Amino acid sequence: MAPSDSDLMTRVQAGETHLFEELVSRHYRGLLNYFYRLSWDRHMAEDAVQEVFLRVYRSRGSYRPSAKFTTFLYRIAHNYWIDLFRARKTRGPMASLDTPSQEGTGASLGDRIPARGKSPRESAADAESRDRLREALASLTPGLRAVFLLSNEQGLKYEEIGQILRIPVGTVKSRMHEAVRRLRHRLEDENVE
Amino acid sequence: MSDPRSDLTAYVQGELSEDREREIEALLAGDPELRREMESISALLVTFHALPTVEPSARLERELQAAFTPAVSPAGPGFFGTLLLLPAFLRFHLRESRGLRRLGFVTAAFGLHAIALTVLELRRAEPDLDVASLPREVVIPIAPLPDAEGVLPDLETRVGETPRPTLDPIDLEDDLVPIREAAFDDPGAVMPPPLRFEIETLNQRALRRLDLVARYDVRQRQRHLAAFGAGPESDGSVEKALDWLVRSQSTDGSWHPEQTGGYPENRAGVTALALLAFLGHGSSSTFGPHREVVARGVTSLERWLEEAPADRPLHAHALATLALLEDSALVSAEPTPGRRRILLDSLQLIASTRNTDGGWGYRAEAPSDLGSSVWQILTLTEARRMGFPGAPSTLQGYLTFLSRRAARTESLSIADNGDSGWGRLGPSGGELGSEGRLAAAALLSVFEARLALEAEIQVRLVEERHAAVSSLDVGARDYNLAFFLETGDARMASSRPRDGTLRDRLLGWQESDGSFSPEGDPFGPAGGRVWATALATLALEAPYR
Repeated sequence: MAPSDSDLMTRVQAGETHLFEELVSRHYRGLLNYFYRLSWDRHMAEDAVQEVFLRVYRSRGSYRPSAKFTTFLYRIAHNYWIDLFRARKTRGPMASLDTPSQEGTGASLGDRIPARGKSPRESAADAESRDRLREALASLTPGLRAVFLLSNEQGLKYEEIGQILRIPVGTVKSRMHEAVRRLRHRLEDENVE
Repeated sequence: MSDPRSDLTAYVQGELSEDREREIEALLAGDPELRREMESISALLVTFHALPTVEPSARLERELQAAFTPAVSPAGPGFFGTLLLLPAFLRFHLRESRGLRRLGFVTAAFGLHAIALTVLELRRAEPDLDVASLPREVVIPIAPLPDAEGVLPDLETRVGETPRPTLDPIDLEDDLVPIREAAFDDPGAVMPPPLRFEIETLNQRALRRLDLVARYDVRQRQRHLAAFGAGPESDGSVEKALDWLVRSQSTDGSWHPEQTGGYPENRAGVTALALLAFLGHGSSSTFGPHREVVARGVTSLERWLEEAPADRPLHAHALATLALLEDSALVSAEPTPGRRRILLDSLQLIASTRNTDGGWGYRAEAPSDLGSSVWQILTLTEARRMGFPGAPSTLQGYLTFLSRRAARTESLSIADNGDSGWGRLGPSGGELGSEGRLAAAALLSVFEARLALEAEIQVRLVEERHAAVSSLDVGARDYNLAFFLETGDARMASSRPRDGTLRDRLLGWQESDGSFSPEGDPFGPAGGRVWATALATLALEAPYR
């Protein structure tokens, strides 16, 4: 049976640092998508993944086996996101999906999402729908968005989210309810328009 | 039973207790509209979950591998690879050599090669990090100011030494520095991060007075209230509380906490808080509806500041000085010579009782405590606003103290010291509400010291505020926390909607006679009802203070 995250982290703490790679390989995709949906910026999300794992590695001494590794990981990720958020506030709004990528292809992020063989009209409608969802998500306050993503995207339990964000479970529940309420409200308003 | 709609998301996500889940299911069975709402929520969660994910780029995978993958030595053959190459290696050298006498040299060279590669492999087995240089504890790099400015050359080596540095605030008038928080350095801390600061200079003269008087103008106050989302209800609450304070003032002008359940030694501090509540509402010792009350209180505080022994409670001293400063600012552009002398002496006492670690205790010589230090800083910064000089090393030392406490304990928590009930900074593990109180207090004081609030501190303060407010039980009271949070909230940019949770809670705590009960507050037994009422009023006045 494969060792648990907690076992691996404990052994990393004890000096078996090469095992950290296994933890990275288990979690970097999830972390990448977490940051991506927070920022809609692939490059920033990838940089954030690297930075967070560096921070986790540096902080390995403070990890306690009684805590879930994902809680430890996303706590650090959350702190890092706060740093990014501060920097972003001084840089202006998030990049649109229509912003051409920096990879020299000229295609936007939205263009690179596979359309699975749909007609141009259907594809356009899908892209529009995705944009609406993304804009709705981006309209949430940082606190609500973090709870929503950790719960609905990362599948973490309310209790873990409370530990990550250092808020009571009841607050996680109320924030999740509020996030859903606002998302529904926004999407319904757009449908009416 | 609470509104089932507020539990529907948690129900869909399987986060309800079994009992509550059964209740919701029973309701869903009999309420088609509720069921449609549940289905709508479920569909929304699925829709968002189905948004396309991104795959890691080759760059990310390459860089993660470079950083964290143990060596598989793609760059060279390594020790075992070298062993495999030994026959070819020997054949080459033996053929090229003119005799077996070279074999010894060749073997030695081969051995060195293998050892070097092995060392390189062992080094590569560690992730590509400069592990040895990573600090086990966060170090806050605050460069000491030059000796010539009367600043400690090296605080670290002076901790615990006496006597304290003697600071002459008059001579330092032109050298005041606002403190700019550069960045929060949080290398993965799971608790509130330590702070990293840097210092920059600015001419103090440009900061004189600001608009202190304007803030207390009645018309300005009404505008601030409207902008802050506070209506007649909270303003009426303040007036009721002030009326109660008027009724409870003693004939000597002070407020006696022991008459309302507090400790008598806190008389000066409680009197100062009560006065600040009146000053915040626009009354001073010479004008306003409560001018006589304020005048009597100010006189009693002036007397106390002049006559109290040097070993006076320092938090009370700071509060009394603060009240005197605010009254002076309201009364005239320049304090009278007598008032100025009292203020200068009081400010000098604050500067001279600072501990060598940069903080203040509740008494001179006592260990530094954040609860006392915050008030000293708030008072010093108010003095700076009014054009009184302060010592740059005093503010800088406070930040050093704050940063080191945060770095050492990895959290800003408070531990009840069991006697006065005021508590002191302790190791992590305290209640969240206590952490929130100290974090809010510390951040507010940092903000006040800087005179401008940058986005990063706003974010942190908002977060701490939400965490602290959320952690409060509805029945629990924490007037210190309320004051620090509401004041911090009011100081922040007006570009976001105000969170009225705490204000509404405060309004709910007020009793019919206008006072606030100290019961349930961790410091209530020390302060009594006057203390609770004054602090609650100050919190409600936060929009226009």
